[in-house]
Amino acid sequence: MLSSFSVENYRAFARPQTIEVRPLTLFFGWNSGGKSALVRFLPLLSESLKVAGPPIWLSGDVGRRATWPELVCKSTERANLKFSLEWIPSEALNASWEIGGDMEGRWQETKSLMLSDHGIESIYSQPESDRGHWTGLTPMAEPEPNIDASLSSLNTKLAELASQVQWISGVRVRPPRVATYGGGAPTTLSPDGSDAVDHLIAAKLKSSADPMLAVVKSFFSSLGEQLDLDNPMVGGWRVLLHPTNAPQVPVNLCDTGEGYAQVLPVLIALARARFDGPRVVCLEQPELHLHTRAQAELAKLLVESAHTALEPRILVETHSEVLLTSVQLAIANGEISPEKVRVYWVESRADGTSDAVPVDFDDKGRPNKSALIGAFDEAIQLGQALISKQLPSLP
Amino acid sequence: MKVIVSGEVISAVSETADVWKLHELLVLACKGRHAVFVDPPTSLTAWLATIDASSRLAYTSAIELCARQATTFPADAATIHIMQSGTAVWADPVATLTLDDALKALTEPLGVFVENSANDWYFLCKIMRRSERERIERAAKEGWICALHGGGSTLVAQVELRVMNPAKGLRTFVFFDSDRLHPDECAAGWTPVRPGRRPAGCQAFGWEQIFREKLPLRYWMLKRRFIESYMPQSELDKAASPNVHAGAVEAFTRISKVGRWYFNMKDGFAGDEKRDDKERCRDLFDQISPADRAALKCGFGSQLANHYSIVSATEFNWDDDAREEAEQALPKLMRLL
Repeated sequence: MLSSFSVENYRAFARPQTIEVRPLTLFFGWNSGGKSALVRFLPLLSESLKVAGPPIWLSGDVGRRATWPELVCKSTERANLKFSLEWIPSEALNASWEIGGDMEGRWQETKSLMLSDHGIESIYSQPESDRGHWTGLTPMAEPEPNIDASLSSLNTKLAELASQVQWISGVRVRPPRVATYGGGAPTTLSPDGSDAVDHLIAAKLKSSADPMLAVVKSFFSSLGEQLDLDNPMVGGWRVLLHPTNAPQVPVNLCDTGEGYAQVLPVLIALARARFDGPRVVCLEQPELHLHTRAQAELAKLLVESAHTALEPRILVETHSEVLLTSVQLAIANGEISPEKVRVYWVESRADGTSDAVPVDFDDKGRPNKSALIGAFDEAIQLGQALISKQLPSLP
Repeated sequence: MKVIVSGEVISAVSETADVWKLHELLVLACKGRHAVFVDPPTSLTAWLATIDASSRLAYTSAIELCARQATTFPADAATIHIMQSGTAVWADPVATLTLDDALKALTEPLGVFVENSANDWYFLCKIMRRSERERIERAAKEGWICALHGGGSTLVAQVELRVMNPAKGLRTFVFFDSDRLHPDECAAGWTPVRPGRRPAGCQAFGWEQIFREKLPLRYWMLKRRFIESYMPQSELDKAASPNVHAGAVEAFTRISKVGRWYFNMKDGFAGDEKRDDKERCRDLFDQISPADRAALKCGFGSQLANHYSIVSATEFNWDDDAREEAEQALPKLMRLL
């Protein structure tokens, strides 16, 4: 399992940033600070590994057809992207890359790879005179057996990572009024959630008591709603919601407010991570359009999911005060160990570069540093300003 | 600060002529100056039921906001427990005080002693992250925090005078240069004692001994020699006095990193040459070429630090070590607000 990744000269991050990938890793910060870039890094890598073309695939869902100069940090004027991956100590593997790119956006290539496998260090570089001997991020196997073993180990880990990353983007589509189903569902959900219903149908067809389906339903039932899958015609399915005690008033999910529709792919990704789905779940704004009550339930699901036996790694970019407070409360209640949670406060500097400040919690859910004090200051200050107006006798 | 009021205080005071003190306390919460809680909350509710509706609504809302605000406070946030009786414990991070003593501390602006109330204060503000700076600036605007000019040699005397008043003492933070001439002098075991000779003249060494005892969680001694030692090269170019040697900035960049941190920025090598303890820099500058040594002979001028207060930019392009040091040190200040 991946334990951390680091990036340098990536998007707004001029300086090296190491991100510990804990069971629950939350990213907070103002807009345009770089939270999304961090949450998207593993999906970007996963997409690149699947394509096996240039080292970093910029023409996919994550890359959004960025150019190389847009990928690297503008303020540094350096063209090389550096990043590393580290797996948990028992797997004793870490790898660091330096990817060179053309600042006119014409090419990119892996300059070097430093690999440490159970303490054995190897450095691979790609000389300009000998291009073409790399496939994406790794060189083709060398003849020396020990190097073969390290590379082979890395390739296995990378293939695993590619298949284990599930990204749910911050822009998600509404579920269809009627979904046509041809059998099966892809191994990963589409980032925009457009195939979310397929996963529900596949689970339902396996068993109406499918545990993944049960997790999704539990979110709605905690809010007094029951989610049902209706199959009124051959191959045609509808997702319906009705108040738990009023089955006679079903509403198609696509007709509900956007909150439930937007959260559906998030719920499915989390539920799948508990069982046989991808276990590195990268979520952007999972709380979109949800009332605070539903956000609190979503937080419970995040905590439960992070706490399950398979220990998925859930990375969440969010602005939700409710999510943060709920996670702190879960720590204080002993529902999740503080060691399983890490928050990053992502903040940009005046020069446009950003840093991710790590914040841990004690067993009472208290932050170990002051970086989060200003996280929701505006909301608090607005409230205080209003109070001051409502109490004219204030000196 | 975090303020936890014992319910018995509310019960004891709310029906006396001292009730205005409860109002004063809750007004601090309304303004967002401190985060106030009552334990148990029911004792507050009972009193609020007896006061006018607009005050009740405002106080109730303020207390709710305090709860939200305090969830992001660090575990070592400065805290006052207000008790009805008992001996005052003016401790940090958790003090236990009566309502009268607590109000004295809570209405006292946080005093930040700096050697120079202009340059050092601006240095502090410029090295903060924006979220920290905005919080400090708001507090300064409201009069909840102020820079206190400690001067050079008078800093300790001024701090000692202030902390004689325990309410002011609790609201005191000190920031000072390390005055060290070599990185090893920042090690825990270093002392300025020189066998058979007068102790080395390291003012900050003595200060740190005192502040470590009196204000253990409330001081930041810079790792580098002076605030000027943090000035990014891009700023040094602009800040160096016109009388400075033309090649001084370039020569400075050729010194090793630790050499730059402990170089006498104001007076250069000539300034340190006059010191009785000039050997303290050891071999830090041995590798410097004669030409560079000549360029740096007189440093960058005694007004160099003014650049921090003159330049309007809110933030400089600090090096990574400076950012890292500030990242470790500033939470000690932020936790007091």
